[in-house]
Amino acid sequence: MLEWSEITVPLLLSLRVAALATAFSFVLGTGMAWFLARRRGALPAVINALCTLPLVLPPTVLGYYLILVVGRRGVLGSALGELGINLIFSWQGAVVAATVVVFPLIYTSSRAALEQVDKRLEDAARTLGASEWRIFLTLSLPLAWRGIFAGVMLAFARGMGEFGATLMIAGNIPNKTQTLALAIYDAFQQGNDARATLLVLVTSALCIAVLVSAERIAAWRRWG
Amino acid sequence: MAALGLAWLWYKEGLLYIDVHKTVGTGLGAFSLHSTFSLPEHGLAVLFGASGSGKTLTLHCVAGLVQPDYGTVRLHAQRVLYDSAAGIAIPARHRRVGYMAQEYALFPHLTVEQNVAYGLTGLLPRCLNAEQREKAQALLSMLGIGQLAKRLPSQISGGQKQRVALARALCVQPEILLLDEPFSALDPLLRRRLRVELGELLEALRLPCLIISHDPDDVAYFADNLILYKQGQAHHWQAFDRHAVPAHEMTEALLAAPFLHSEEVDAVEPARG
Repeated sequence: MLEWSEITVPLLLSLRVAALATAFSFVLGTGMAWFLARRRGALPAVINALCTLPLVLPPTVLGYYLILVVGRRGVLGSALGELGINLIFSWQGAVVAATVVVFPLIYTSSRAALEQVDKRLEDAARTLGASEWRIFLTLSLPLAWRGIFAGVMLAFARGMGEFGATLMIAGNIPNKTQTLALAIYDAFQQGNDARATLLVLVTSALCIAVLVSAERIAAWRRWG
Repeated sequence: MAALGLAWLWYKEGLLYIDVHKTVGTGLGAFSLHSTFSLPEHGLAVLFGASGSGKTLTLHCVAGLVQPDYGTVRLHAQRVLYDSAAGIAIPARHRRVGYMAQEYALFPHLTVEQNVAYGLTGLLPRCLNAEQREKAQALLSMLGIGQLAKRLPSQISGGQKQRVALARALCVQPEILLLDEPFSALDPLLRRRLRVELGELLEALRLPCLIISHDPDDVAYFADNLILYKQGQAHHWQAFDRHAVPAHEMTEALLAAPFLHSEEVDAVEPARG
């Protein structure tokens, strides 16, 4: 008989990882998009490519890079280790992996949305005494929110299903780092078809719900 | 030396003095703006010329939205906005210029009232305090659209949008008004009426004002000073007394202005699409 917790534990972990990864990526991705929008030149082009890279690289490659950076002997990892923070084989590591994976989704859609904002509105705000920071918060962000929001929802749905990079960094430890996607793989490997099927259905339903509600929210409140 | 003497004279007299030089890359090659003119205090000038002749770029240099390569922008003796020689370049947000962009650039997500008060608010432009609301309302009432305060820009007409944009620019108590084609988005009948209204308002406010237009009727109505633009070169024509010369004569004279038809400029500056 299937234990209820066999579903809820990976589900809650996936939700937590996806939510935190989306939140971090939202701040980083939108900030980076704002910084790079309308900047031309070689350096911005290179940074742009780097920001989009996680979208095309195999998750295992990302995982490998991440281990080099935040692993026990990594550049950042050893410094974090001295502070008592260990990202490898911990759920926090899964958050880091998911953040990197979903970052380009938010970055690319935010950048497209921010570039769509009429530059003349921002110019008008400048002559009215607004600082760049204030223009971003009071004009660019509210006017671009639909595109940014689409990216956020996509990122959340993608974060729910993150597998490859998470597996490499956080491993597949039941009740600790086993997210929905990993639990499905695990159940399938063990021949536990009932559990696998249920997890697949839960994951699918959740992702559909996220995407449908994203669509509904984006359709709400338009100004001409 | 003579130029220096002249500059000193302008300085002493406290004139509005604009001398901006800027080269920008366009799809069709480099475009150079060389715009130098001065106006008496509270002076009003119309910047007239074809599209792409550098009128908007001049306004952007005055507003601080574009940094000129070199030159001077001075409102009067005590107020230097830009001086490349002295290393002065006040950022746009501290210049106190009332800038009205083409098609008005109202913030579509804010109500009329919130648009007008934008220059007074901080990070929450939707939350106006009593004082800010009162100030916005006073300006809107002065322009005859007090009843529209709660509407969104998408819910008002073109002429009303122009007044909202004007109220928004005036709300920060600017020291100069820069109007980029204030009438081009309006139908001809409305254009005539708003032109008269704007003229009266400017006379009452006694603000210096630069108006971009390629409508000869605007020139005939406003131009005490006329700055002609051709391919980045500005030419000051101060031949008008709009109260003495009939409008149609002025229009004819303008369209026949030797500067606009001279071929010399073509030889010096590459054309811009």
